Amino acid sequence: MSSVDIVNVHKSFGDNHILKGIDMRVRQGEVVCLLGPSGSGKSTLLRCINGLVMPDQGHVSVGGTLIGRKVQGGKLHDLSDKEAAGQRERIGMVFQQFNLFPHLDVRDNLVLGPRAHRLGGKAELEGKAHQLLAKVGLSDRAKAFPSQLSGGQQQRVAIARALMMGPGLMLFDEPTSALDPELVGEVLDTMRSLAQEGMTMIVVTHEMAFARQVADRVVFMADGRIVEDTTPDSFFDNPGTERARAFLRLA
Amino acid sequence: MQTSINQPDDPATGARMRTSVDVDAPPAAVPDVVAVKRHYGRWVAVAILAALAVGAVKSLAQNPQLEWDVVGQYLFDGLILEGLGQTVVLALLSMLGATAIGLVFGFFRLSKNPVLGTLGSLYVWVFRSVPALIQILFWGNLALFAPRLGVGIPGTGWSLISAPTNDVLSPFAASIVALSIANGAYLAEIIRAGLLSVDEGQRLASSALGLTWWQAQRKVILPQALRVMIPPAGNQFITLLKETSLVSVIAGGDILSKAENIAGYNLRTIELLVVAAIWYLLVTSAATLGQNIIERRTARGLLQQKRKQKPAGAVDMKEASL
Repeated sequence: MSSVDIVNVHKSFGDNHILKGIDMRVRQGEVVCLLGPSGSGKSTLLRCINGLVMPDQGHVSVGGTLIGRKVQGGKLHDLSDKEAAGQRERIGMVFQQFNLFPHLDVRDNLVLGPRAHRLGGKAELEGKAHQLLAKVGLSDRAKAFPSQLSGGQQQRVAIARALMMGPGLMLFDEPTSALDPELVGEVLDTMRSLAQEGMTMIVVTHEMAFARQVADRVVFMADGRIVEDTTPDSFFDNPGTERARAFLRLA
Repeated sequence: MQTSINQPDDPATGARMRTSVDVDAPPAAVPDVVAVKRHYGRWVAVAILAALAVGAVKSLAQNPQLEWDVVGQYLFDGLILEGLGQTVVLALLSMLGATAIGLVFGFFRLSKNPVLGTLGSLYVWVFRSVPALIQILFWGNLALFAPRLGVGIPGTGWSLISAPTNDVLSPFAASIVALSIANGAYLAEIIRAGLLSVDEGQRLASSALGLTWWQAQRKVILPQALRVMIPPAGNQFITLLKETSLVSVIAGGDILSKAENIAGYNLRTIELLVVAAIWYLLVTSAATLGQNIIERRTARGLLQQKRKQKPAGAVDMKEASL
C-alpha cells in the first residue's frame, strides 16, 4: 500500500523555480534512485513526498492518500498540523546530516517518535528499539549519545529511528554525502539489506555504484525536470540524452 | 647569549652560510629549565587596591553618621524580614509570569504568521522601551484612570464582572503585574534566541517522524534551547530581584518599602539602606549559586558526551572536581 504517485508537481522558492512539473510513479517494493547535479531539485522533490515541502501546484499521493492536502470544492486545501503529522507516521526519512536528537541517547532517539504517536508501551517500544539496533549492527550502543558515535553509526541509528514507526516507504536524502569515505560502506550495506526485504525506497544519492546495483529504476533530474527515467543498466551504459551523458562523464 | 642562528650573515656569503649544516645546528649548551614568570605589576596593583579598601572600610566603620549597631539591630527586624519574604515572593512570581509571557511572545516573534510576528515585535518594543519604574507607577495608579476593573463585551456596555480597581489590584498585585509584563519582553528575546540556536535539521527530523508542532517544541526543540537560555535567564532573574526594589514607589511591600517605612519614623535612612543592601547582596548571591547549579545540570547531557571522548585519566579529574 505504499506506491507513490507524483503528478505535475511545481515548486518555487521566491523567484527560484525549483520543480517545473514533475510526474513520476513508484510502485510498492520498488527502489528508485534519484540522480542529478546539485540544484536540480532532487531534495525538494523528496521533501514533497512526505509533505515537508508543499507543492505550489500538482499533488503527491502515497498509497492512494493525498499528502498534506485534501480536496474541497474542487481545490486543494492544506491539512491541519495534526493531520499532516499523522500521515508522516508511515513514511520514514533519513537526512544527509543524520539529524539525531543530541540531547537524547540512542534508545530514546528511537523511542521518541512512536511514543508521541502512542504506538506502544514503553517496554514494548524499547524492545523493538533493541531489535532494530541489532539489525543495523549497533545493539551495544543503545546508551550512547549521538556525539559519541561515528558518522556512519549515527546514520545507521537514523535509519533505525525511521524504521521504528513501521514505515511502508523510506526516503533517503543523500544519506552518505556527509560521511568519511571509509564509513560509506556500512550505511549502504544497511540500505541494501532493507531493499532486499522489499522496502519501497526513494534514494537521492551520488553513489553511482549503489544506484547501479540496488536500484530497480534510475530517475535522472536536471533543472527541475525529469530528464531520464529508466533501468540502471540502460542509464549507465546507454544514456539517452546529452544531459545525462555530461553528468555521467563528471561523476 | 649570541647563538650561531642569530648571527648576521655576510651579505656576500649569506646564501652559502644558511645552507651550511654547522651554522644551523642548535647551540650545544641550552638549559633545560624554563624560568618562572614573575608578575611584579600584579603585586603593586594588589598593594594599591588593598590600601584603598582599608581606607574605604575604615571610613565606613568610623563614620559617626553611620551607626553599625543600628544596622545590626534592624538586620533581623520583623518588618524587614517580612519585606524580605515579600521581595523574594515578588521576584519568583514575577519571573514565573515573565517566563509565561516570554514563551508566548517568543514563539510569536518566530511565527510565520505576520499578525503574530508583528504582535510579538510590538510587545517587545513597547515594554522594553518604557522604563520599569514608569510601568510600576502606571499599574500602581491604575485606579486614577480606570476606577473599576471588569470583564465585559466591548461596545455593548454589558459587563459580566466588575470591581473597584483598588480592591482587585493591591500594590503588591500591581507590582507583580508590572514586573511580569516588563520582564516578559526580555524573556521573550531570551527564549527567541534559544529557539533560534537549535539547528533547523532538528525541526525537519521531528516533522519527518510525524511529531506535531507542539510535540516537536516540547520534546526536541525546547530541551535543546534551554541550555542556551539558562545563563541569560538567570541573569535576568538577578536583575529582576533587584528591580523589585522599584516597587517601593507604590509601597509594594518589599524590603525597601519596609526599610523606608522604618526610616520614616526613626530617621536612620542610611542605616536602613545598608540593611536592605546587605539582604539584596545575600539573596542575589543565593540566586547566583542556584543559577550555577541549574547550568551544570542542564549541561549534564553534553558533559556526558564529552566524558566518553576523553581518556580515562581526564574523566576522573573532571568528575572529582564536580
